[in-house]
Amino acid sequence: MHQRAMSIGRIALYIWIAASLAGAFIEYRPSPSRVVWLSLEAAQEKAQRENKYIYLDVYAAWCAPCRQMDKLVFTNDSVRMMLNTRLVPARVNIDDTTGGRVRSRFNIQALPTSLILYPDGIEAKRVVGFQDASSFLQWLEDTSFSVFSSWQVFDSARETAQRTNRPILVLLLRTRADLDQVRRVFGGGKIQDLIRSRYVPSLLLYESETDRRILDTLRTQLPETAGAGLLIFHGDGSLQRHIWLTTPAVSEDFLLRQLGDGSSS
Amino acid sequence: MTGWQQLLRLELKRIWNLFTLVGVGFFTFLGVMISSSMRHPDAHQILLRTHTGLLVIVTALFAIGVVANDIKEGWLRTLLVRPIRREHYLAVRILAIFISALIALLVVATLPVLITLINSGRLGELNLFRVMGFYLLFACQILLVIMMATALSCWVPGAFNVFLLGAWAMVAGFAEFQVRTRYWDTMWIVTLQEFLLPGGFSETIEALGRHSVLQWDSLLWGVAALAGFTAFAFWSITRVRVDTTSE
Repeated sequence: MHQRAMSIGRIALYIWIAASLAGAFIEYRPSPSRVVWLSLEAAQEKAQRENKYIYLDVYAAWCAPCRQMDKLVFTNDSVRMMLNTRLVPARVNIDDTTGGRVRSRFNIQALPTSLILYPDGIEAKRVVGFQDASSFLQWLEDTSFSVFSSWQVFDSARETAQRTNRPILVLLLRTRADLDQVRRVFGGGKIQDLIRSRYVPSLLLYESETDRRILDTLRTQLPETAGAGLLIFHGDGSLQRHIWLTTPAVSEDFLLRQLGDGSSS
Repeated sequence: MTGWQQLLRLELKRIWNLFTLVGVGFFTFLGVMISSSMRHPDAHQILLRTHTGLLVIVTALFAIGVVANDIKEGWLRTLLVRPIRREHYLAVRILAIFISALIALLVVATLPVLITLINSGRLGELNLFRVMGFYLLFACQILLVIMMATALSCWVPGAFNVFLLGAWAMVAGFAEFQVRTRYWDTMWIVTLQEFLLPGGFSETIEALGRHSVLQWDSLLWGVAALAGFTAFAFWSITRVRVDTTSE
């Protein structure tokens, strides 16, 4: 009587073994991701060289949502293109020696953690947990931080300005926090078009040591009451005019008027 | 009519009593409340969210004491003195509960969702193939819950099989929360937690609903869990001592 019951049970047992093995194989097989991942150090070097932002993926081999990101998100063509061409993709395994350092440096509290870093390695923004391809792409694209991603470092801007015979537009701010306030204004389509067509844009921050050294070389040309503002230089580096901003939260109209008609204030 | 068809008819008659009809009526009211209160922009999500919660509860209610009560009431002994094998009884019992739970789900969840979507003129937003995929996975999930409840019912008395399932789910949910918040960086705890409660089918449903992607690994884990509990249930029924408990 028990023989038949055991045979049904045995068939189910074989299916259990086969499905478990197949499930484990599919879940734990090497990632099909085609993103060109770099180490954080290499990515930082590249990002500074190319003036791009870094995408940092903090993951672990045993983290299921991380594996899902590999399978469903990093294989997506749009995501792959975005990461490989517009950003410098880096990834760190939390269990590696670098993982410990990254964990404390960026205060990682869950996996996976996706971070966008400025070229100098400072965090711009983060998202924690699994994101599907479309929301991840939206997160990457909706980066008000990317408003400034095509802006060049001052020295390159000077070279481009000389070559193209266009003035350099420098946004001068105290901290990155001020940058957050002006992102919305500079992210507008009209102002972006205006800047792209007439100027070579660059960004200088008082809080950055490198930028402060550049500002020191320009000190003689700058008024003594230097605060946040827009500086417009000729291609040769001489100051053409300046627009001081009493508050970083200016309106797009104000900027369009100031930059569009060529008047100084 | 063959023997197993007669037995199936008998089992269905036993399941669909007045108490069941009242219960289905109550859950249909609940389904109407849930689906009509949803304001999700994706019609598929309204369908999914209404079904997933009700599916487990409704199935678990049908599977209360699935074997244990039959032993206690002497029904299993009555059947086994006839030329009916244990696996024959169990297969038909499971099939009857499966059919009943599926019908109940159509009434308590599908019907309210359809009414809600027709009323709001959003029925056309549903993709037929995706919806068929959902129902196939719902059926698998129902079968898994039945198998788990059946296997447990061979070992524990009365409604304890469903209580144990509920406690199991609660412990797994609590463990998941603890792992997410406190032990998210400990490999073996995270890995162990993934196997605490079979969630292959529910993860596949979730992925199909949210990302329109069929997650093969989750599906296979679901199939593995279903096969594992089927094997356990059919092995467990051979270990049930009918004669001593039926008197």
